[in-house]
Amino acid sequence: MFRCLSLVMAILLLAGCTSYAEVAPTRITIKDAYSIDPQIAWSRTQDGKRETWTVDGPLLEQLGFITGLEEGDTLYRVLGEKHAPTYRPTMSESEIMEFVVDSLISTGAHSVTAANLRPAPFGAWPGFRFDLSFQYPSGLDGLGTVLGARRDGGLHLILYTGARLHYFDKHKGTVEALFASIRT
Amino acid sequence: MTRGRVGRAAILGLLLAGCVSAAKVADIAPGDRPAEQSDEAGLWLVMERAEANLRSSGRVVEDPALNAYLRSVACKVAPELCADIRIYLVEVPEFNASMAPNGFMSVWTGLMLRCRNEAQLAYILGHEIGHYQRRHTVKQWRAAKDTSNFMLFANIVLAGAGVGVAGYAVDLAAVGGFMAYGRDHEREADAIGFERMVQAGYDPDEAVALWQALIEESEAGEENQPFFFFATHPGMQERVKNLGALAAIAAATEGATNEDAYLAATLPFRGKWLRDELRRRNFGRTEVVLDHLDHAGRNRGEIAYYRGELYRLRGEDGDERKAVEAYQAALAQPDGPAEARRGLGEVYRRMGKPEEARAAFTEYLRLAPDAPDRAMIEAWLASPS
Repeated sequence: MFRCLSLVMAILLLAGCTSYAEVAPTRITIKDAYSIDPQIAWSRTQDGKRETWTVDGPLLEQLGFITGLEEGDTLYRVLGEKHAPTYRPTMSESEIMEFVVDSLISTGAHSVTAANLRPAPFGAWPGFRFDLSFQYPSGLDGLGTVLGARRDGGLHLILYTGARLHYFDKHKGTVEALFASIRT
Repeated sequence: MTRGRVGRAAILGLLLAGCVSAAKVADIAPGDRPAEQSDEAGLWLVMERAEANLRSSGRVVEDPALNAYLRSVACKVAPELCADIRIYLVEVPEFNASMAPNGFMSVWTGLMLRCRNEAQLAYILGHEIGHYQRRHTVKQWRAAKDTSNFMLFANIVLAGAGVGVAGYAVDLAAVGGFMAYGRDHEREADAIGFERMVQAGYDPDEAVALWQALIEESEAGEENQPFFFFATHPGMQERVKNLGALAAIAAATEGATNEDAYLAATLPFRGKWLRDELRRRNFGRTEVVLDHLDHAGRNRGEIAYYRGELYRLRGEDGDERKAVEAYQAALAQPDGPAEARRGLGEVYRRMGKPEEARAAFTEYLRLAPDAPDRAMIEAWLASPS
């Protein structure tokens, strides 16, 4: 248990070192895979295949770009978790939705449900989309919407999540416009 | 004084009261409350905060019938302390239970999934109540003051109270820290749990049966790690040996398992608990859990379905065939869920059998009109083969 506490403290300390850079509201390329119009100014932090944008803070709302996920990759970095769900290229869209739900739970979210999986364009690529409801580890209610597509064996996802109270809705219109602006 | 000031004063008193140790700590009596300004009162305050955090975490199962059942079993094994104990069933898919010094007990859903009957649950609840009865946390707190672990223990107290940089995760860790009793305390709680279950009329052999099942499961897990519950407990084999000796002495006692009552209370939740268990991706361990549940012979369609889900998710060589067999076994049972057809469709699609996949998906959509992936599957069905 003491080892567990040390791990929690390490995560807290590392979280304090995350650096954010500003994203200007002009068209930007995501990992050379596609481009988007951010619509507004965001703050951005990057970590390999994952980058996170936020306006009010990642615990209130965040836009996650997961780019080029390959066989065996996890959706999130979860320290000390040896059984985090991993991506397989043979997954169907239903199984990718299941992968996202289970990955969110592995980070401490709970009561996660996904709904309305449907075909949706990801720029010019055929993609899919679904909606999420969940609770943050603190018990705060959250909502989410996910847009994804597979290209050249890699999985691209854009996950928008936020607190059900105010913050998800605050930027939802912006995120819809951002989704519609994707150029592949 | 505000509640916050009271809290800080009590915690400060808790940390400064260094001269209380070594005195004999009597068993707790029904209705006991610690004296104001005592170190024990400080411990209770910390745990009251942790309890409030747990209540608002969204992780507590609130079903009235299931909670009433859990409470009824606790009251059978500890009628004299029942009014002082509050039990929270927490949605965590691991085998664990813990008891705080103020009477707040948490039982994780992974434990409920693994108990085969009421007798096994009664043994666990009796064990936890044993910690409360013997005031093990207070003893451990006072003992820690005389060791180099004191500051670590004190930091855990402060974190649990929200004084430090604590967030929810640290609160949980802090609660767990309190539950990390020494092995002597665990042996004592084992003996009390056993005595209480036997006195309440349960089959004494069930305590050993529970640990034997857990040993089998632990050995099948990918890392062969002990459960949370055993992190500081006596070794599993030692526990089986001790409880086996006690059971031999109690052999003349007629005992009940109350398996039917346990299954009636828990079967409505078992599917969700199995789904949570699968999310842990510890497939070897889950396979053993499914084998043990199948032993009871109830809701076999549900068990076969989750076995199919396990093989679909694991995706090792030969798992596609095993998944198809499991889904078909599920559908041959009256309680085989519609989702077994979705699973079949997914696996057939992966196996390059589009016609079989189409048939399975079509039937799935017919049986599950509110399927969360309906639009996507309909689009696939409408596409050329």
